[in-house]
Amino acid sequence: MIVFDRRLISNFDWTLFLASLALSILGIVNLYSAGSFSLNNSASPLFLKQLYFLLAGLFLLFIIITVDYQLIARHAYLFHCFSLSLLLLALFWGKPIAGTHRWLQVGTFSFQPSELAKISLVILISNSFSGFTPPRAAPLRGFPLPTAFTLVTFVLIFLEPDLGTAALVLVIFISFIFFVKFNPRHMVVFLLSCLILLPCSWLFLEDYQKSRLFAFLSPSKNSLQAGYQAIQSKIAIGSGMLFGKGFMGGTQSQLRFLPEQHTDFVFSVWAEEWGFAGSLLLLVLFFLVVSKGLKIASQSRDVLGSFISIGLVSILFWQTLINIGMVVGLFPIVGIPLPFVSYGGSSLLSTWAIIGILLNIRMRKTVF
Amino acid sequence: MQCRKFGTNPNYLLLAYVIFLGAAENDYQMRSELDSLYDKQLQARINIAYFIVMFVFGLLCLRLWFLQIVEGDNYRRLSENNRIRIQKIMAPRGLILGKSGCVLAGNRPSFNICLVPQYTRNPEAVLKRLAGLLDSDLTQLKHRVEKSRGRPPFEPITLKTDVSRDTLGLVLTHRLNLPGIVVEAIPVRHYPHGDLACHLLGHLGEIDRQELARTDFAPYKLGDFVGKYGAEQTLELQLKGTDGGYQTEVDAIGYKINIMGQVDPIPAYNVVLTIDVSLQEAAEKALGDKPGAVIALDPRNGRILAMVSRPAFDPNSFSCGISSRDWEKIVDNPEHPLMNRCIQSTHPPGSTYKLITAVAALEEGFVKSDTEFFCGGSLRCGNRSHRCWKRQGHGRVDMVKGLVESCDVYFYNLGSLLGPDILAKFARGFGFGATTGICLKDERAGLVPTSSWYQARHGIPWQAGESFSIAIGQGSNLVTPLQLVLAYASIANGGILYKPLCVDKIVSADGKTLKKYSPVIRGKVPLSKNNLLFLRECLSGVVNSPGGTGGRARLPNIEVAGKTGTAQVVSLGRGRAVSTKEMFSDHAWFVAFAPKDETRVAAVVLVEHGGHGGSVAAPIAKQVMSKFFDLVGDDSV
Repeated sequence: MIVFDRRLISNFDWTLFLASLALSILGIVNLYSAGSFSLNNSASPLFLKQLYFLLAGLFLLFIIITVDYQLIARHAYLFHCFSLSLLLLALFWGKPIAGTHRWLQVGTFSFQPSELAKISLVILISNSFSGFTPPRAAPLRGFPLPTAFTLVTFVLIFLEPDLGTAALVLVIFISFIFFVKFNPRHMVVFLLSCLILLPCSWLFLEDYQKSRLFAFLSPSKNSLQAGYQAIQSKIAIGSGMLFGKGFMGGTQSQLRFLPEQHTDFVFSVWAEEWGFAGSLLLLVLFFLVVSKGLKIASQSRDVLGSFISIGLVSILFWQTLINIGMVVGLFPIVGIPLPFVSYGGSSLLSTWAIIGILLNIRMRKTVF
Repeated sequence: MQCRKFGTNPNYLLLAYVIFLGAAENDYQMRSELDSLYDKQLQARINIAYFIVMFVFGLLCLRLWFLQIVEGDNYRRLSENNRIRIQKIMAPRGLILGKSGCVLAGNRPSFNICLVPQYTRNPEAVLKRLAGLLDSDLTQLKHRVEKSRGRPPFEPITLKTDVSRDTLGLVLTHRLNLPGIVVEAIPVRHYPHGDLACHLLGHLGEIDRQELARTDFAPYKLGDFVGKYGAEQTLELQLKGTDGGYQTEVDAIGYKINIMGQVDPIPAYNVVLTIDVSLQEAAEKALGDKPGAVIALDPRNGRILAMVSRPAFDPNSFSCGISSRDWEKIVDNPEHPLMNRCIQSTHPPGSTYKLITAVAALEEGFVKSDTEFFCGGSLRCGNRSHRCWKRQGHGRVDMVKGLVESCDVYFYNLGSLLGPDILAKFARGFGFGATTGICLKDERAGLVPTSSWYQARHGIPWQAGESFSIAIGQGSNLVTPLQLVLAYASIANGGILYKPLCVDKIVSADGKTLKKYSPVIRGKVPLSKNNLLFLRECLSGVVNSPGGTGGRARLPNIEVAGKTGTAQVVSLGRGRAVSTKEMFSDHAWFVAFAPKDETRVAAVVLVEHGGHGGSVAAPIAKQVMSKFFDLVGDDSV
């Protein structure tokens, strides 16, 4: 009566899984060093917490791969509305941390609904877009609806305020456009609304966010806090040279010149202690994950699967690019964590959820 | 097929995900034909994406290669021998100026001795040597260092604030023996006139947790100084500038090698008060060191010209953090120097309140101005006799005589006619029982008793005898000096109740006026034009008639109008250990305005436990007003 398809197992993408696992483990090793300042005064050090989150992430992955992604996509709207209501909840009833409303407290564990929202948004967009792939005529509802959902998500995350994740949401949406053919009229509408939204969003920017952008645009003039972070990060990375200063040997991180060294600037800690060789290893692993994800997109059994993989891969890709680009001084400083490596429960769980869905799609590529 | 059994097969639920795994598989569609047509396009784009990703990762590698290999030596040097330091340039706090531009609160440089732990191998020895030089307690210095444990080692720890120039010279000459010791120069608040107008100016203090949590205080950090009292507190956001800073490369012992970038501080705004410094000085001199309050204001717009509360405190002692000894001295003082008596002390208004009783009786038509009552020295109510201050009595008294000679019996009669609630209505109309809205914190509203308040407070209905008391401003009425002078100012200006202003304007550092405060009308007092003019005459009589109680406030060329008041002190401070005779003597009030017509100044004087209003408070008001007319001359406004 029930047929268990062996191909589910044989199609499991071990490379993707092991590359992700390696990234997580290297991240925890790195956190041991980056979080060492809290080793003696915190009940459970950061790296240990991260280890628990990794175990939880693996469990989450195990659950996700058992449910066919088509079933998940069927309820994309419901799923995303749930994420949006969590965002609203965080915005109005969340625990404010440093003036931001990004967190929801559940018991002793607080998590960021925006991490969930970006995944559910990708599934929602994929679900609508896969319905009208060319040459089929694009129905009107196919474009405006996901656009509206994207903008609402963007605004809610922006108001928290979480500039980095909000920008990520827009970037993900734009990434989709590359893969879908649109009615040019819709494109014009979308671009116009972006043009209107961007100056408006400037009004909402907090002073520290503006100064960060300015610091990026002219680092010598506005060198204070933001420029300081950028310069300290570059010093940390550069001083790592070829083989690094050794584990726990980074002066920039151990003497705490680096800001946010366990979250946004975690890559600088790694690069300082493991040098160019170590940084290259991380980059190769990230490239492996992203390229495997793209491969899954091209091999999936339907367009829906392709789109979901494309969206999820673009989340990982952009986060990696923006974070590393930021710490090496190519991008302005926006708070975006590095997948797998940065400290943070919600971030790690959502990254493993992404890997789970990718594996899910891959496992079912030849299932009929 | 499998999916049809979804709802009917209970095993489905039991076998959880394994079944689900298999069940969900068969029901979904494969790529349709249309999809496969699109496939080629999609594949092509995925390939492009793949190359873009490769390119981007290549770019990141290149950047890392550049940073770590090409520039690696350079950055290694920066990380080892040198440190990039961020140094704050504090924006000096905005000035508080008097009306004429005289600085009431400014800034002076202060030198702090700090330790940068990073630069010293043996902090113990350095601290020991330093303690010898500074002649201070070694354990205290150690404690300060201990408190900062856990902070990055390159952040200076302040060991001693505001050292004298001699000490500074001593430390600098021994600099080579004191590795890690640096001197910071920072601006601190300075009040050049000492305690002049201290209650209005206020003082600073270190920011506390509650203030840190305020959203509009976001740029503040622990250890910053903020206004804690007076104008410093209410105008904090205008007076606070934005700190700048520079990023420097420093050498191994902490000296700057080169500046890598600089952000200039944004200076704060300056605040110009409505205070006339000469008048303020004169008022403070006139009051002397008696506990009490003096306010002078312009009745035509509510601008406060002088505001004195005594005893005073020295706001300078707060500027670098007040020592616990000084703080205890202020807090333990039974006369509460930190209390701004102008807005925070509430006392019975005494006979100054008779004006309100007169207004109520005239406006409600209970009496006419020529209605007479007989004063035989006392009036009976029930079985209790209420005395007039003049034991032999005033004889036949009309309203003019009642006010001029302040006959209590006349007003007992009015009080029993009016009752508490009508009187309360008029009292509120003159602004009593509510805060005036001056831009200072913790203003008190005073109390206007009503019959329902009395019932709630005492549990018994209003007592007829109480009507006698409140009619002459004794009993449960409580007013602040500011409320009283504003009420009298409304008689002077034709019936308008102004919001008191103590800030004239906010100006930017380069002198541009950013905000000018214009008069705010809170309301019109319930008083007809005729009655107003009549009462003004009566108040003039108080000062200028032969039998008037306020004769000591008379000025040679200017017609002063006013009213004396003597508030009886029934009991003071329950459970106070020492109760001297002084503490039971009466509060002296005098409130006045001049000239009687086209008034330019109104003033109130309160001397706590001073005695009689006419003999103690009136001469002080006279000095303040005569100084005012000296200052303005005869023709200027």
